[in-house]
Amino acid sequence: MSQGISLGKKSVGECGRMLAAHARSLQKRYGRWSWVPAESLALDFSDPDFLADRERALHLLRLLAKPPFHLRSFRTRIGSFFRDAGELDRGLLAALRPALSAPGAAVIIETDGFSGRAEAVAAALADRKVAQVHRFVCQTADTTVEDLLESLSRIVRLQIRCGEGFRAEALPAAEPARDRDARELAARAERCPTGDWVKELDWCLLTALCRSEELLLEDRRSRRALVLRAAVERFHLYHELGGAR
Amino acid sequence: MRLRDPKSNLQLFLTRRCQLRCRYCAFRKGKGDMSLKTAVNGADFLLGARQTEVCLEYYGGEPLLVFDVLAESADHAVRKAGKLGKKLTFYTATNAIALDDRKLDWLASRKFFLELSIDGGSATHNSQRVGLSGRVDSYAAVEKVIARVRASGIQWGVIAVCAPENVPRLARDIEHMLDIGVRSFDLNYAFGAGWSREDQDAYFAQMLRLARRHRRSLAAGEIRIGNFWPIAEPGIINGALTVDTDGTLRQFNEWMFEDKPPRAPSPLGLGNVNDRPDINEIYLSQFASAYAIVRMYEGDPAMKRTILNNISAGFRFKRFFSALKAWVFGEAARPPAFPPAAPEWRL
Repeated sequence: MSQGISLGKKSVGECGRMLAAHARSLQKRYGRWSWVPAESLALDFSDPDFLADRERALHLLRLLAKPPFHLRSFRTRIGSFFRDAGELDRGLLAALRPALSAPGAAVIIETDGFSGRAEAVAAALADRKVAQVHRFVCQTADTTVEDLLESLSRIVRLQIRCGEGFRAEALPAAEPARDRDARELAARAERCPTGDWVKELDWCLLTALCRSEELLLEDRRSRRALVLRAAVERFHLYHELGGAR
Repeated sequence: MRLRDPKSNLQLFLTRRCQLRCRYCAFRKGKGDMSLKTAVNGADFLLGARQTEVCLEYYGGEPLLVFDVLAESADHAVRKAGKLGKKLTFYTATNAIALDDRKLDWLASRKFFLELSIDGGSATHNSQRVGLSGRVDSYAAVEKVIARVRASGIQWGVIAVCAPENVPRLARDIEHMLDIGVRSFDLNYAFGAGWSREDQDAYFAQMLRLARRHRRSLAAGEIRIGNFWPIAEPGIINGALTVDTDGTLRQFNEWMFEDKPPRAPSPLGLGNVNDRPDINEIYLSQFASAYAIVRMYEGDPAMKRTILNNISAGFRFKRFFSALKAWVFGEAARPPAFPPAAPEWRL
């Protein structure tokens, strides 16, 4: 059974030697190369940002696009998909598909919130038919209701656009939102009880709508109500998938 | 590219005419029948759905007052469904005043699911379901057809509306209906009424009382309570698609407040069946439904309070019936406690 491999600060050469040693140990364990189960040839890299060292990543991706090993997963961060000028790294993206072509293979991307950059990366990966899992933090201390709705509406758009090759998983917050309404809505989104992001977005909007109306009935000038209402108005046509108004 | 939530049910509101003026009914009565052409277009609209199983529902006003349109459009739908390879079912609800043998036999032959509008014993029923002319005993009218309905072989049940003031009699009213042969119930709480926390709790207590008494029969399926399978609660934002007499597509909750004219038109703009829209392009989520009705009553705080109240109450009713069902069918060891009030918005 394959275990997570940590590259740490290994150089390209060291990585190559590491994989060769891994191959030898498998052959020794199973006697013959042809007896090594396919599962044992699947590699998961546990480093928090596999793509951070671009050259090393490209080398490994090219290596793993060929037998005997195949790449099952690696973790990375959104920023690693961009070049210094802020453009998507097309060379890196092009190298992903051949390496992640085995069934079940996916890139795992961790991010705070679900930004426009995350959406751009997700779309680029989907265009190249690379399966992706986005692990995102629903809330930080500064998250507003509008931020949360923005993240969820992006996820819904990507869910529809990318189909089964796209998954989003919410991570528990290290620090909850200071805004009370954002905190309560994000807490539910983190659980995602329905497993369906469209339903979660709809629920958040419904809650925000009703809460804003209730608050306005108590006080027409309620700032909290007006903030909620503005968020609802921005995203009330989310089903048109065209982004916030 | 957009989200779609295609519907597999469609309600045709055949007429604004009705022999009754039920106190909780907000539907604006008067003249106005759906033409056969509009009803046929409505049926075609539904049959354009991608789903292979669809249901055409006839409402009103009193749909049996426009029986010819009902019958011809339903027969058209049957022929078309056959060509398309779709499974088509029918439903109608009626006050039974115009339900004669000819209509009953026809409805039975087309395998309609027929719901009789009965709210309870005669005192409860007639307190709410008053006649237009004041001379109609609406309870007597529906009671006299029950024997014939049972004998017809049609699949049938009762749709009962409970107003808050009738909650203390709810269990007794349902017992009465059981006594006269009813075995299938869809129990509605009156929309457009304010449901206090106490009203809701009293409703739950009545239902618990009933469920304790009839648990075995409920579990065996000898008595059916449709609320155990809540397709669409809160009912006020269930997003059901309806066709007005002139073909305008609306969402169901617009009827619940029609006698209190909205301050703004619905933002949904669903179209008209006579323009041959595509049902697969419709998106009506709970939020979309709530947003539309709330914005229609912008500047009307009393209506907004009622709308919020009915949404909140609807969620409680849903949780209660879900828990009651679990107990009845042995999935939970104890009868349900009353659900906590939705924290997001108060009564």
